[in-house]
Order: sequence, then C-alpha cells, then structure tokens
Amino acid sequence: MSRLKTLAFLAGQSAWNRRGTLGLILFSIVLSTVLLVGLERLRTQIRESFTQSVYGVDLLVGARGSHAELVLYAIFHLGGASNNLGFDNVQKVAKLPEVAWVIPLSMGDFHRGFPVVATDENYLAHYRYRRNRSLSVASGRPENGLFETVLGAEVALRLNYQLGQKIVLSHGGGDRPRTHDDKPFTVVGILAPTGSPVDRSLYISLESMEAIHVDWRGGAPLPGFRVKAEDVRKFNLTPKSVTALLVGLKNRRYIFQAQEKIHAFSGEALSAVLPGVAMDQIFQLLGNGERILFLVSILVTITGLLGLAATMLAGLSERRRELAILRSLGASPLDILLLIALEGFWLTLTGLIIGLAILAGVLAFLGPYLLVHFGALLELSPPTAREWWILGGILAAGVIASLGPAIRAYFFSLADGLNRNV
Amino acid sequence: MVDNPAGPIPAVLLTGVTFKWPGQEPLLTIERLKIDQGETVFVAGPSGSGKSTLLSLIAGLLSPTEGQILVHGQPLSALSGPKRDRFRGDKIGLIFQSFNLLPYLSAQDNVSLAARLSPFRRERAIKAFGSVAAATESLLTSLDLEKESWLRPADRLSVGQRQRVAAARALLGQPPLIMADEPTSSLDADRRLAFIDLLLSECQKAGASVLFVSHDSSLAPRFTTQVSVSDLKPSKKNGPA
Ligand SMILES: Nc1ncnc2c1ncn2[C@@H]1O[C@H](COP(=O)(O)OP(=O)(O)O)[C@@H](O)[C@H]1O
Ligand SMILES: [Mg+2]
Repeated sequence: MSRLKTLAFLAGQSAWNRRGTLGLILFSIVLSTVLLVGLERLRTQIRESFTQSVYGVDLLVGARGSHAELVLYAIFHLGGASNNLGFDNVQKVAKLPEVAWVIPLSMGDFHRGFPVVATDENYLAHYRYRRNRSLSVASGRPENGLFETVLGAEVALRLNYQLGQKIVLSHGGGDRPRTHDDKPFTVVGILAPTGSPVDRSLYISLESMEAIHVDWRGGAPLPGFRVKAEDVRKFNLTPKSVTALLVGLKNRRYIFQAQEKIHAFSGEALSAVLPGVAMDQIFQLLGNGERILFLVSILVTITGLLGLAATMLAGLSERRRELAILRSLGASPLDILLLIALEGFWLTLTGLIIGLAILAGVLAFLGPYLLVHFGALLELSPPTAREWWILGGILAAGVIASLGPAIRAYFFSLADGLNRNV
Repeated sequence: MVDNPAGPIPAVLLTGVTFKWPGQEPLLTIERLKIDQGETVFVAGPSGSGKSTLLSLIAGLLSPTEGQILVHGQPLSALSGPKRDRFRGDKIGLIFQSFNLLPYLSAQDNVSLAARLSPFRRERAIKAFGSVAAATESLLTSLDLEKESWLRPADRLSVGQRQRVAAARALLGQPPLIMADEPTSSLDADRRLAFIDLLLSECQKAGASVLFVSHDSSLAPRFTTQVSVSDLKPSKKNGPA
C-alpha cells in the first residue's frame, strides 16, 4: 500500500514536471468529458422537459393523422396541422362524463417566426409545465380580449417588446407570408419564463383568431371584401374549427374509455392520443441523431486517448534514465508498469474533474441564460447513474490506453540494466 | 564455495561468471571476484570493457550467462524477480555517472526516495536518526550540501551538488554495499578527489563495502584494493587471442 502511495506520488510529480507536454493531452480529455457528459445531460434534460411539457394532459385530440405530428404542433407549436376538427366536436368531447376540462388550440399564424396560439381561459387554468407549475405573468395581465395578445418570455425578450406594443400577425410561416396588417394586436401581458414551448409562443383568444380571418377564405383574403377592425364585432366570432384539443380527465383510469368514445364519434375521423405514447415515437425519431452525436463524442474521446498513449510512448525514451534510477532503488519492472499506468490514471482523472467543473460552471452560470434564450432547461445536479458510467468508462479507457506505454516501459526496464543512458 | 567457512561472509563473491549480451561476443569472463565486508575496491578498465555490465550483474538487474553471484551470502539466482529487486533496494546503494536524480523531486525527496522504496532501509534510518527526514538531513549535512539547496528541485542543482545528493541517497539507511559507476567523470579534476574522500569516509562510518568503477586510474590509490576488468579473466590459454 505504501508502495502504491509512493508510485502514485512519483507519477503525479513526474506528470506535473512534464505538464507542458501533457497539458494538450489533458485538454483533449477535458474536451471529451465535456462533450460526452454534456451531451448526455442535454439528452436527458431535453427528454425530461419534453415529458414535463405534457404534464397533466391525459389525451391529445386532433384530426386523424400522425400521432407524432399531433404532439409536435399541439405541445411544441412546431409545424402545422393538415386538418382541423370542427368546434361541435370540441363541445362533444368537453361534455363526455370522463372529461374534466378541455383546452382548444387554434394555430397557423405567426409573428416574426414565433407561433401564435389561439386558446381560451382554460389554458391558463389547466396548463402545467415542469411537474405542476402553472403559468403566471411577469408583467401586465394574462387575460386577453379582442386584438390583445400575451407574449411568451422569450418572444418578448428577443423582440424587445413592452406592454402596449402594437404588433401584426402573419398568416402561415414561409418567407413572404401575407400579413394581417389591417388588424394589429396590442401586447397586454408578458409571461414569466418556463423553459417550455410556452416561452416561444404568442397567445390570443379564439375570438381574435376568428376575427382576423372573417374576410379570409382558404388561406387568402377574399378579393374585394374587407372588414375593418372596428366592425368585426358585428360578425359571429364563435370559432368554427380548432387545430387540436388538450384534454384532462377526471380520473386517469378512464383514459381508454374516453379514447374509445372519441374515436367512435360519427362524422369526422378524430385521433385521441396518449401524449406519453406519442412522445415515445418522437424520441425514436430523435434517437438516430442522438446516436450519431454520441458516436462522434466517442470518436473524439478515442482520439484524445490515442494522443495520450502516443505522448506517453514518445516520452518514454527520455524517461528511461528516470526508470533506471527507480530500478536501482529497488523498484520492480511491475512497479515501473504501475507507475506509467498511474500516470495515465492521474491524467484522465484530472481531465475528468476539470471537465466536470467546466460543465458545472456552464450549467450554473449559463443555465438561467439558456432557459430564457434557448428554452433549454439545463440544471446543475449530481451526475446520474448513466453519467457515472460514462465517467467510469472514460477513466477505464484512459488507464487502458496508458497500458501500452506501461508495458513497453516494463520491457525497457527489464532489458536495460544500468547500462543504457545512465 | 566460500574459501574460509569460519570467516565473515564476503560482501560480494563472483565465481566462474560469464556474461554475454545477446548476439555479441562474451563480454565478461570472471573466474573469481571477492569483496570483503568493509573493503573498498576500485575496478579499472577502458570504456566499453563491461564495467557497468558488471555492476548490473551484482545488482541483480542482469543475470549471468554462467556462474554464480553471491551478495552477502545470498545467491542472486535463488531469488525471484521481485525478491531480487527488493534485495537490491535493501542491500545496495547505487551511484551513477550522471542523471542520478529524478529532476522533478527536491534534493531532500530524492534522498528519502531510497527509504520510500525500501522498508528495510527506512527502518534502519529511523533507528539511527529517529526519522527518515533526520537521517536525510544528517547525510546532506555531512556531504557538505548547503541547507538552502535541500528543497531545490534536482534539475536546478550544480553537477557537484547532484553527485553529493546521489551519494546521500545511496548511503541512506546504511545499505551494506555501495556501488558507484564513474560518479566523478562529470566533475572537474580537483573536485573528484574531494568527492571520493567524502564518499569513502561516509562509507567507512557506515561500515559499508565499496565497489567503485572508473576508467580514470588516477583515483585508484584511494581504495584498499585495485582490480582491472581484464585481470579477472581466467589464464590466457582459454581466452581469445
Ligand atoms: N543494453 C545493452 N544491450 C546490448 N548490449 C549492451 C548493452 N549495454 C552494453 N552493451 C554492450 O556491452 C559493452 C560494454 O558496455 P558497458 O558495460 O557499459 O561498458 P563500460 O561501462 O565499461 O563502458 C558495450 O560495448 C556494448 O557492446
Ligand atoms: Mg559504463
């Protein structure tokens, strides 16, 4: 034991002495750690925040189509629906005995690339993010009347909007979308950051959505027919259709019962989807990208560790004297092997610790920034079981990489006697 | 094997030893070499004659092609690899020509390294001086190393200082045999004799036997016995022409 301590001491001192050369290697180990662990952290936290975005929603209802697409637009406000569902069906779903609440969502308009979500007061009442936090406003009020909008935190921050600001919505995404410039909206509230898709969205009422489209048909303004903003109240602003429905049940036990009933509605074909199941489909799609990123990080790590082995090998011929001195003092060839392997261990361990410290620093200082600016929820927390495995894997790989040089040193010290270079 | 069974065990005894590097002519042929306890032996021989190889053999770092080597009565061939390494660390203090020290350790740490790697020498140092640190300081003092250089890393010491630190390390824990391989060849002429006198007096205090090899025979008179590598060969008729 005291022998191992001596060897560890020597390995540390010797490595510190050659820190200039070893610094670069250390850097590549640090990089590998940051990449591998950072990626893993990102992966799990993205999944986590995905999953948390549907917290409390028991069923998603939309026109029949891909389940993954339904999740993407209903929860993440990404892409668009090809079909809507009629408002009569919304009321039918709401009246089912199993159903506690429904949140109708109507989408398709944008403002400067941010999605506009038309919904009603149930959104504020029942939408939950990150386990069970409900939405709140950072300034202004959450209720929006006709031609009024409440902004997600990121929208307000990026576009530098204040309360009272007048904004114009555009119809659909695309490069040169048609605008609703005849009916501008006023910002009446700005939501607090949530780290969820809410931050990137603008909220209006279903009536407002209907109002800006009274003089539109099939995605284009009716030729020769204009309704002024002040005249829209003369029209019936009850929505005729919505894009999707978020449904909360009185009891999750009724989930399949409710699903079956909705599927059995006559008239239009509806999908009622369990969000968790649809989420899994999305994760499977993401899985390929994740695997490629993981593979690239593994390659970076292997390159780094090959560099470690090469640098240690190159240094050995210079260190033969040092090794001969240790041999003369009673070190066995096995001690020499251990000494070199310990150097690899120290180096890798130091790289791991520095890498983790950098990651922790990034998470602690940039976490809140990332939350607000990129909607990425990255929290500082102790390594997960999988992260421990990754760390252990890097350490083991570092020691294995240094075994090559170590075995070479073993044979040097067997063959050299006192003659070479001493 | 031992000439005088009643007498003390010799520090080193080689009988019928030959050594040959792979793919080379036999380098060493030693019929008999005996070093008594407390004896100081000077081995002369030109460069390349096999002096360093001889020391490696006695240190158990190389094994003879033929013959037997006893160090303090212990046949080296009877020891397994790790035991032989341990035996060397315990019983032999080695000083080299140069590059004696680990450049990244201080003078003091270089000396105490001998005790770190040999529990036997560690115990002896503690027994004699109370602690390894005290033993180290005492040796560095008697070898004339200025106190301010004790904590300096070895690569910032002068050549003369390095050799004295190396001598202190060889002497720490009083190993019974000190072997030196041309330790003075990097010192200037007037420093050589001073270093040898210092080393020999310390060895004498510790009661250690000394095996000192050098190609510079002007140093020979300081030692009790002088031999030349070529003298050790068996009588001419067997040797190469
Ligand atoms: N590690 C080695 N491998 C092979 N041959 C060696 C090695 N070391 C020394 N030799 C051979 O042994 C000869 C004597 O070397 P050495 O013992 O160092 O002589 P000296 O110390 O007297 O100068 C060298 O000329 C060389 O041919
Ligand atoms: Mg030599």
